[in-house]
Amino acid sequence: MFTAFIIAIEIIAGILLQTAVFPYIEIGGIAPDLLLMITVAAGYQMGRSAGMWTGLVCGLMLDFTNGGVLGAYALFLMFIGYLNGYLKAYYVPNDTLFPMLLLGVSEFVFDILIYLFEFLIRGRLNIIFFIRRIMLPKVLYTVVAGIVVYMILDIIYRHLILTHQKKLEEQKQ
Amino acid sequence: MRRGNSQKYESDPKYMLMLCSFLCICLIFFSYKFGNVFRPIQSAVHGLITPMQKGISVLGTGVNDFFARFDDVEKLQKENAELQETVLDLKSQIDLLKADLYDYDRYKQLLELAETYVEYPTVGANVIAKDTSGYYATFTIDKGSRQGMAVDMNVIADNGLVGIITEVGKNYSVVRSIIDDKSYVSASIQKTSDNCVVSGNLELLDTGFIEVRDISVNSEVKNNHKVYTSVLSTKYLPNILIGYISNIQLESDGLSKKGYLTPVVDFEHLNTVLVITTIKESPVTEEDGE
Repeated sequence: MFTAFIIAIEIIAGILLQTAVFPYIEIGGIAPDLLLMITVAAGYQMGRSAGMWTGLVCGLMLDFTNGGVLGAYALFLMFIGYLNGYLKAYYVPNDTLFPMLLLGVSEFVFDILIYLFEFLIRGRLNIIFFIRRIMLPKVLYTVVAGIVVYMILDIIYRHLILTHQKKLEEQKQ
Repeated sequence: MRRGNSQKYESDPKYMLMLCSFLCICLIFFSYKFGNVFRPIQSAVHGLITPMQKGISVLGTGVNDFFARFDDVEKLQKENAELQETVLDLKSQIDLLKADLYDYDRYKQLLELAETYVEYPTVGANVIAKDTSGYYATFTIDKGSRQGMAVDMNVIADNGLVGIITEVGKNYSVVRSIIDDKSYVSASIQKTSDNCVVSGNLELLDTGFIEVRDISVNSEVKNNHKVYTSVLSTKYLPNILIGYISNIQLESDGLSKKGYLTPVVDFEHLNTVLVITTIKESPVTEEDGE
């Protein structure tokens, strides 16, 4: 419950920053993908189940604020969160290199999915343009910004969620 | 919640993933098929975060203005001097034009000219959030159904067409601009009265152009002709300036001409827009009614 509450706060802060603040720091119309960072971090830190739920809620938030067909983002992010959850075993506190690799790959997969279902389907065949002009810059920008954001998310995870879980276990014993 | 009481999901979240995927696919299907079913939920969630977005947006503009102040003072002084000169120049021009206008009004009265430009009733709104994914050119404004906004209302700024409202909540509306990849506007070229279609194209993102297609092969359209919304459009009101056409060439199939269009609106620095509160009524014939 406590974990869900913390993640919910992260998501609300994320969507607000994403839509109202990041337009000021966008480069060439591209800004880091904050909700994807939250999803990847949740999956990597807490496992498949947590990654899946976080991805689902993040995706629904994106769907609701976007004004298009509902459910597509939710589906994509849910799978990304779930798949990242498989790597929970490799979680090391304070490490940023491996999660950044995950974040980069996830962002690229997410972008490819958006391209397939939003653009290719309407006959935009020039995938090279999309990769060069939008996907790669977005991966780069998300990873660079992700270093700072992930550090914050990691601190939140270790100091709030892990300590809370430990406390619960002690109470049980 | 899900950690505490259900060990089952914890041990194998696979089934939950399947269930949620199924629900998501259903959601996609239903929202595609019957667009309005989930509108209330969507409005509720979006409407909840709108006041926060509004607050942050105000803060963001403040911070932006603060840093803009540190911009080169010398540059501003120079600009100021230049502007002063321009003001003097323009003032003299205005005097001349005023005299012309007087004549024009007189002639107009004599000729009983009908109004060439229709003025539409508008409401101002602020941009509070913007899509940053790089794929879409949509943004959110701070007025919704409470202030009389409705879907399909046209949005303008700088005397040019910005886009159309695609979603309305109580306190917000989502606008899709004409540079969005999915945008599609029936237009006509002023001087030659040729019909054409203005559509957004993400691949022209860096050039600042959007596409104009379906111009008749026999058209005598030239660079820098003005393009207006057409009376034929089902959603856009007629006679709103969209931009200037350039780079006209024959389509590869040789059956029509295409070109690029430079919009009059500066989409990069769009902070306030005007929403036209009239909605275009498409003529419904008896056949359509059935």
